[in-house]
Amino acid sequence: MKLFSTLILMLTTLNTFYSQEYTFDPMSDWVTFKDVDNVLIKGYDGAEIIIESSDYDDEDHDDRSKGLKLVIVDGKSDNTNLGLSVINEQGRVIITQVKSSYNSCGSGDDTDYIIKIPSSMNVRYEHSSWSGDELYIEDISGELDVSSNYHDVYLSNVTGPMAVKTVYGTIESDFASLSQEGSISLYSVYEHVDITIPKTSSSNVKLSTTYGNIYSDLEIDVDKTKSGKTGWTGSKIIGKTNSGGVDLLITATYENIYLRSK
Amino acid sequence: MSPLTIEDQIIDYLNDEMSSSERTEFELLMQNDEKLRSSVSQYSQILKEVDVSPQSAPSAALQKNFDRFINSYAAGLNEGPQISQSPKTFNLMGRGFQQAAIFIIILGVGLLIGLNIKSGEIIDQYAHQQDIMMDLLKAKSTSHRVRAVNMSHQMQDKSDDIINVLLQTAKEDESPHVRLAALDALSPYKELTNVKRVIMHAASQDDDASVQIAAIQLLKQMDHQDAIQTFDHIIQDRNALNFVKDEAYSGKIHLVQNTY
Repeated sequence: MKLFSTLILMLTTLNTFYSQEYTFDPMSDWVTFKDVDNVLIKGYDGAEIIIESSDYDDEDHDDRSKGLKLVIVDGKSDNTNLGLSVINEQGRVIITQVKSSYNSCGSGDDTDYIIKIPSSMNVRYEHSSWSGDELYIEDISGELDVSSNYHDVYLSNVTGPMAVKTVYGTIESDFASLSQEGSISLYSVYEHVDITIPKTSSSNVKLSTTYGNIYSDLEIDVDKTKSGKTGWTGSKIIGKTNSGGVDLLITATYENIYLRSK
Repeated sequence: MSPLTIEDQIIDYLNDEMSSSERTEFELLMQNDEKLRSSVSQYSQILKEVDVSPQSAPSAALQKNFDRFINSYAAGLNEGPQISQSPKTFNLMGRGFQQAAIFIIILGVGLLIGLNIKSGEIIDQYAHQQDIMMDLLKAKSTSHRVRAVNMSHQMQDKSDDIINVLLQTAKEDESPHVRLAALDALSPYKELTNVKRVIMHAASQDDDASVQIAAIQLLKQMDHQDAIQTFDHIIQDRNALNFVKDEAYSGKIHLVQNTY
């Protein structure tokens, strides 16, 4: 979490040096991000979506591309001049990364985006390739729907409802509170899931790992008839915190689950 | 605790309406109280018989005899035992027997009515939950649909309708989160042919790696030759992601080791 805080601070500090920005009024209460590599999605008290990039270099360092346009096969265009395509239509807002952040030398160019959205907006994030490392989501009270194969997912000051899954990444989340409106589901196949919720949160918990262990300092009223070992090495805990409430489902197939109170 | 409270608790226990802590406490009580164990066993038997017995009205003859019996008993009460035609000792034994019989019948009828009302309430509650689940499954919100699928965990002995809805959801829902939740909800039924088929389909055909891996994990627990064929299909699939293939290899090795 210390690393997480440091990175957030760094990204926020870098923000002060931004010169490139793209702003628009969203025409939907859902915003979908497709294959955006390194991004901090941050809720704020405003109505516009503001896209900022710390180090987007366009074609400045690629003399060969001067005078040419980026060719994109699926009809999208870099209409932000930040390597992102924005579709903003009635009922749907889609932000897609159209310029690869992977350079010819075989390493990422570390293009980072900070995208500010109204804090009550619902967010869908989809990423299936291995480019990009981390996704940060901060200060959002809307619904989150995150699906990634390789990203680590860090959530801070969120409430849910949410469904977050990653195959190779960790999931770490610090909840401001647990929304009782819909389920909260966090799922990682090969890495740990570490979440912190207020001690007073009411939930029906289901914690499941096939090869890891489960750790918690919360008072969980465990349903012993449904909980226990799964297979040779796994564990499943089904129970309630504070007499039950929203479904809180945490799965880390191969790694540990950490459920902390604050 | 009064006897009535114990009866209520027994019914709640048998209908699985206790919280986990109440259930644990009640089971502890049963361990130390043979009489309670016996009562629970009797109630359980009655409950099973009520569940399997068809609803039927008494025959006209039975109704008539029962009415006559009740009327004569009421008349006997009004006249008192001294006007009975029978010897006093026999009459008193008969009266005692009648009273006991009436008491047992009233108790039995009351219990049956109570259990029927309770069963009706459970059926209503189940139908209500099913309606909510179906509505939530149509929601745009992924988390609402995940919640709908999770509602099925609270429905013991899921009906074919519920299993079919879960099968459809596991195959067709647009969100991998919901398909994952549906596979998890189906896992207790993984030996059913139609469930097994959907799990195998998810392992080899789903376009989301997490769903594929979850399905492979279920297949690993099934110890079926069919599962090995599915694993082979994934291993040979050029489009399958490497880590999904690794999972399939692992599953195949697990099943082969268990077979030989």
